[in-house]
Amino acid sequence: MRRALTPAFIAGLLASPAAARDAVREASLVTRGASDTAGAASEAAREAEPKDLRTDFTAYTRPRGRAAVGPLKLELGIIDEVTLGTYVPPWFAFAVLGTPAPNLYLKARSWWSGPLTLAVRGGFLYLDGSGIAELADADASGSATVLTSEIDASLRLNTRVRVSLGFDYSHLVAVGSGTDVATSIEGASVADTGTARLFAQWQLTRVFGLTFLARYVVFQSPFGADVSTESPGIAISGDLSAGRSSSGTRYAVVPGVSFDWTHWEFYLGVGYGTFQIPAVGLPTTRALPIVDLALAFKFDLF
Amino acid sequence: MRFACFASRSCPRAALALFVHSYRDVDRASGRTYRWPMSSRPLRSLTRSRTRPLGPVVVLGCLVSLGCTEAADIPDVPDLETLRQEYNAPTAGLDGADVRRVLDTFPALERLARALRAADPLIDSVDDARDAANERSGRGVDLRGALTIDLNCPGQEARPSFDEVSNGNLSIDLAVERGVIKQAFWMTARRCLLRAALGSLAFPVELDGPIAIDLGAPIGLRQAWQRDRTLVSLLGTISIDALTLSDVSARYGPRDFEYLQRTEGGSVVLFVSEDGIGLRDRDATWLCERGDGVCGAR
Repeated sequence: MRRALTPAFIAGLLASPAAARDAVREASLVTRGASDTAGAASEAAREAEPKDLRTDFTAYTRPRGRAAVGPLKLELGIIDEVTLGTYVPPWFAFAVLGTPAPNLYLKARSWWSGPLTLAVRGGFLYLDGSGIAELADADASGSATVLTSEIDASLRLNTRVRVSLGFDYSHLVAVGSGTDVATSIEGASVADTGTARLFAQWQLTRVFGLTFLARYVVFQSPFGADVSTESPGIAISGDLSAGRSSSGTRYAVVPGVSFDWTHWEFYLGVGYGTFQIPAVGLPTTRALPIVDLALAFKFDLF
Repeated sequence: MRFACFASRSCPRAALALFVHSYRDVDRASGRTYRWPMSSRPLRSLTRSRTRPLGPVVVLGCLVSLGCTEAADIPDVPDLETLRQEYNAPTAGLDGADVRRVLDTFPALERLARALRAADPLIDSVDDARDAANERSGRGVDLRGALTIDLNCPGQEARPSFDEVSNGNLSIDLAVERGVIKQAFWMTARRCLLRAALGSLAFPVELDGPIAIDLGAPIGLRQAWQRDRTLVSLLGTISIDALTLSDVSARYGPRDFEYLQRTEGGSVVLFVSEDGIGLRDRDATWLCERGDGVCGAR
């Protein structure tokens, strides 16, 4: 049977399976009967859209009042379009580094309903000098603030498949003794980093889905690595910069699975490549086996 | 890249506006305009639409350029390849009678060998610079830039005294690229006084002016290095006792020392080895007994 591509029909196609059937049926009736307004179709699409989509690697946000609490991060939907979050492990970093690493991020998505959602996100993480010295290969002093930002675009291809493209940018700001900031963190990473990423999710059932994450380090800027030593009769000074090795791995590929229940969400990806430290946004320069994990309990706070 | 850095300061906002406004999608059938992503036609018909993709390209370009930071400059290093070729392939051809005569034109060969070796401990300070740079490196990180070593010379007395005022100094400028110290570098001596010895006879040495050095192999920051045959070209002067030489070169390893001597017929290489002194010309290697002994082709 041939059907007109009315907004209501399209909304039905793009909605979740159950809602899609209703929407398509409704759209068919609309097609056979009189034409409806675009506003009503848009409303139908909004109703059919799942409200609690995955927020990692996508442009989606938590609905207003929805909190997600997990061992790795906390998120709260301030309004439908704005989510506030923090990574949990850095707060407990004092156990290892002797000092906590406060961090916070804010994510805002586009306000319109449609197949495409755009989002921007900004965040920071602060680490004082003692923490840097613990992490670095070299002695270091001062403190550091990591500023992270990202832009995301998520596209709903159909009711089951969503594809997201994103670009992450992180900048390590040295405070205090700039030249002493380590060039090597977690097996060597440098300051400014830009990473492009592709994330796809194929929802096989309402709960279970397959995911695929691919990441590529577009650039890592050189960072000052000056040296200066002096002993009787000899002085050594160096005007040096550190950069990512040209032979280093730049990509990561992480296939995974996701489970999304009413109150719980769980994601596990296992892959290989350069590992991006989530709160800091800095990728390792070595290729490593990657285990990407997300677990959260969701509930409505207000 | 400098332009990209400059441009990135102002272009993200303009590019974002361009991005939003450029994806204007016109349905040819209905004539209706959709401003993507605010509103959109069905996806399957987007491929037939007219879009102007310049905006996203500009956005991407700006984002890529945001992170660029100036890398440290790598200093110039001397190119001693031509000189090395001359040492490898001398151009003059001598007969047996000429060998001793040519050797006698440079009687200070052994003292020059000792004098230059006296500077070896100073050159070995490259290792200290390597250690210092290595502390700033890490796995997967490439260092680049300049390392400078300033040394006070030990002086001519039996007991070294690293006093810059009385014994002069010497600076070494190393170039670091891709995590490796380049094998060639400039060294500048400022009235640098050393003590050398030939047998039981000690004699003073003074270096002054620029010296080009090639250690024969690059020095990795993270692995042990061993000096190969060192090639030295003194653009300044070296004084050995009362003898002052300028614009001389030498190549030496642990067991031999070579000196390039230019003659009327081309160049030959004089050498000192554990077996005696000798000469290498275009066609043969001649070894001579010490003193006025006879020379024979090897």
